Amino acid sequence: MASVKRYAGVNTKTRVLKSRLLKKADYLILLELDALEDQVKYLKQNTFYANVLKDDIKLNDVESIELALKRYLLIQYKKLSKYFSNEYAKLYRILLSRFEIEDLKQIFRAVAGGGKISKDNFYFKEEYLNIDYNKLTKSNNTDELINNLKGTLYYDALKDYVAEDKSKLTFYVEMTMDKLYFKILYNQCHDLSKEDKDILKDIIGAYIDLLNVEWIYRGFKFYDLMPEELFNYSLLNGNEFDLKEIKEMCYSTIEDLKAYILRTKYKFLFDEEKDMDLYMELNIEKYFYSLYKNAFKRGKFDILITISYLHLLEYEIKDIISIMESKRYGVSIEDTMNYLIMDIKGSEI
Amino acid sequence: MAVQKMTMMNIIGNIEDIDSVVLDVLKANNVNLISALNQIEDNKFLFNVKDENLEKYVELNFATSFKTDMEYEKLKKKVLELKDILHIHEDGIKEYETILTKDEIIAELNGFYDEIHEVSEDLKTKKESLNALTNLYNSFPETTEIPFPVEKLRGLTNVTYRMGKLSKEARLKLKKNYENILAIVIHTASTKDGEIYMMFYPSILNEEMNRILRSLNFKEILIPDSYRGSYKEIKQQIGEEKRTLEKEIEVVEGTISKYKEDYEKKLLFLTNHVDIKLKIEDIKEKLARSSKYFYLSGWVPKKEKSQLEAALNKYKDTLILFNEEGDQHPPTKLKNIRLFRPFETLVRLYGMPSYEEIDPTPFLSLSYMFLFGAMFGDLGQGFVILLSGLLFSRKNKLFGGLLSRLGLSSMIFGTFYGAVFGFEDIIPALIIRPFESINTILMAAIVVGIVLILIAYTLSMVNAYKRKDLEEGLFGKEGLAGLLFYLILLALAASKIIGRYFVHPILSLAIILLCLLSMVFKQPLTNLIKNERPLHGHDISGYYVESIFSLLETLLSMLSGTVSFIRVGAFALTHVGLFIAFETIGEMIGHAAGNAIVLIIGNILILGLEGLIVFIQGLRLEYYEMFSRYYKGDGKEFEPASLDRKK
Repeated sequence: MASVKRYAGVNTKTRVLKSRLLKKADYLILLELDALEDQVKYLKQNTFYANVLKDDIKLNDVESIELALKRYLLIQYKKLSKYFSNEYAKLYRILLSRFEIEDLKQIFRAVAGGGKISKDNFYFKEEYLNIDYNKLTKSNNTDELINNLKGTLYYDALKDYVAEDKSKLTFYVEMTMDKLYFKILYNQCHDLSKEDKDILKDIIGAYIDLLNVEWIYRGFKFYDLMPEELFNYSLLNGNEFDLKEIKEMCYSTIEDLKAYILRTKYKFLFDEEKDMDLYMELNIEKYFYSLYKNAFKRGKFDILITISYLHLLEYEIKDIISIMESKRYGVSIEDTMNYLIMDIKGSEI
Repeated sequence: MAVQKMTMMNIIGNIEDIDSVVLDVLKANNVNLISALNQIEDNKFLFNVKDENLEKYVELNFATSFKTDMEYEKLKKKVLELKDILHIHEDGIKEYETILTKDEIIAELNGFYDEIHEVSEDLKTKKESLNALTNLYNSFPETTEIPFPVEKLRGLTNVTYRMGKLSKEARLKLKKNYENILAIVIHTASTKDGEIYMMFYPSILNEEMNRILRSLNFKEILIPDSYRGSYKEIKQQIGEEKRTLEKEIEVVEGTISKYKEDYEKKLLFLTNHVDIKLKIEDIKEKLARSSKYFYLSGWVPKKEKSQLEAALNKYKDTLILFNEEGDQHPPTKLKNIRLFRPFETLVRLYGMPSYEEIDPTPFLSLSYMFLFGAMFGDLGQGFVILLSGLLFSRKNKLFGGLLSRLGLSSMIFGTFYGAVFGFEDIIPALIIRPFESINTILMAAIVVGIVLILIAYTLSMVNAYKRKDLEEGLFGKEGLAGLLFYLILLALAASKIIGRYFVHPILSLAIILLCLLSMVFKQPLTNLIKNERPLHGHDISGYYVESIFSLLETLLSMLSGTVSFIRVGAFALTHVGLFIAFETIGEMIGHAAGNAIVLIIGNILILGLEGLIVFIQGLRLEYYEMFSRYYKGDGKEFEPASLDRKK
């Protein structure tokens, strides 16, 4: 009964929102259109993005469009979180903090690369949850950046990386922050109802599995991390692999890792035909895309509907930007399709 | 009636007097302040212009609002801080006779604030270092021992020694991977937030080990160089330092309790003054000021006017004006005799009567007590309600009062019905036994309902007269037309029963038709009488559609409203019926003890469940059948500015 009370309203609302997402036909039309301005026009005239792509945004610039769409995603998060209270509201706050972490990673990358940080590239505009944006942007190098995080929950996790080699720092930072995020998220699940806890644990478990494999792979290939380190950074509470199996992976080679994963349900990670490094992230997203897409076929009153919508929207935004970018770099329609999360191959008219 | 007469009071005084005038107003506890600035802007701040007060009148044009003095907030913070440091929890004496000025308060407070503040800061730092020391102390093992002094470990060249804390998860990973880690790892102690480990590894592996430990989020515990000796000795050293620090803290705490003795009274005294000042600052938001004068407006009960005047007369050059005329809506202050007072809560629950309206409390009190008693008439159970009401009134005076009055009424009806705890064979019935004459009881209930509804009609017309509302009073469905219509309907119904006409049927029909027509055409009729044009408002067709539908509703509500009162009789019957049911169950059990238990449980159930239902049903009758006919309840409550209430 409690779940009906909690979800009857918000799930109906979410289903309406989901029905507004783009269809395959929209994707195909966007792909056919060559000019950015035509694509924007199409989105404005035929989709709900008319409310997002207002005239105060520079509509001839992919970056500013991307930013507007990203912020729209945050607004949707906040909107849906208003339907929840107490522990559920807290959960949404944690889910939102993922974008803060994404921004923070970007800041790290920018500072480590000596690049400039511009507010225009981030999800958040003003109100961060934990960090003080203005203070961070004044950092001249990564050590200062870490010190400027003092007083936030990230500092304690990152303070040991002062004076770390720049080439590896961003990888360390990413792992550490993701680890922190999943730990907090996982803990929060325990304060939810039994059904929701099981659903979220299952999803988080899959993320953890895939992240572990990805880290080990990248750790081997690009960063030359020690197996002991990789093992220590690995996340607990995954679905498929226990500590012993993770340890085996950490102490194996790239070839063995590949062979091992190809025997599991995550074999899509190492799709032999294409460039592995390029498609790994995409394949992970495709995996979750179909998982979230299927959520709407169930008629249950649980948290999966809202979570799924938010992720579908996130993926759709990524796809739209990919399509827009592909025109800029003159990628063919056929090739662009390979880079999209939504699978539209074979559905051409 | 029971709504107190109000008068508007305007005060103009010298700005120097403001604090003490406001204090007097607060002490009087009978002025409902309203925004003086609004009054001035609406040109309602009126007084006679004479030569001697011409300046006051001129300055009125430059009136502005008061700026809140933030200084008092800061003083309050300081006072609270001191109270916190000295562990003082009581509020202090409330005393309103003398009033210190701001500078006096600041001077008094600063006399001891810095001194105490400093000591408390000292205590804080000491406690922090004690905390750190305790943490360090707990990090050292109770049982594990190294057979050589730590300083020797520090000096090692080829082996690195480290001590630190690991989380549960990190510990698990370390354990699973021992064989790959080139270090001696010794678990030495457990603390609240992690496990303490000691590690030795070849110094050439320093970089690798650093990376590994970092990936485990290893929190190193550094042992200051000043500590020497084995673990056991170091632990002793730390323990001693801890004890010294604890002693020091004890001394400081002693100083603080000395401060408490010395300054408690003074601090409470100052707290009181700061609170008063804050309250006055709060009140000033409603006041207006010019460079020389302040302006205050508020409603005062007429009865207390002279008393207030006397209190404020001591200020020279202060003008106090009372103004009873005007088109403003005064707030409502209810004044009822003790018997009725708890029922004011029920009236408030629906809405405060407006100033021009009759206070419905007396009628509600009497009718509600009557209805409750009639539905729940039982000498014994009534007595229980009375007792619980008396008990309750210690905690919640109003609710307790309500309960005890309802209990009393229930007892009275209990003697009428001859019922004690459900038993009908202990005392004789003075009037009737409901279960033995069901029809009479139900008929009586309807008659009671008709009488109550008729009273409601009368009150409605009185209210319309007080509001000078011709339209509703004469032609409205709760006005004269409605009443006539209702009476004729009753007469017709009675004729049907008795078989003889009181009013000639054709005449009845004519009156009914007339009433209905007047209800439909009430707006144009009124305008015709008042000689106002146009006869209708903007939307003529809308008006007629609405009035025809409301006619239908009137007809229905008259019938259903009257029949609705049957529940009074029905519940009187249910009350007995319920008990009979329990009595039967009791008899079926067969032995005396079981019987007694069932009867006791039955009584409790009846008291709780039926008592609640009757309480609600009675309220329903009051609100829906009666209030809806005569009572609007859109008034504002009189809220005097006072020192007690936090507002």
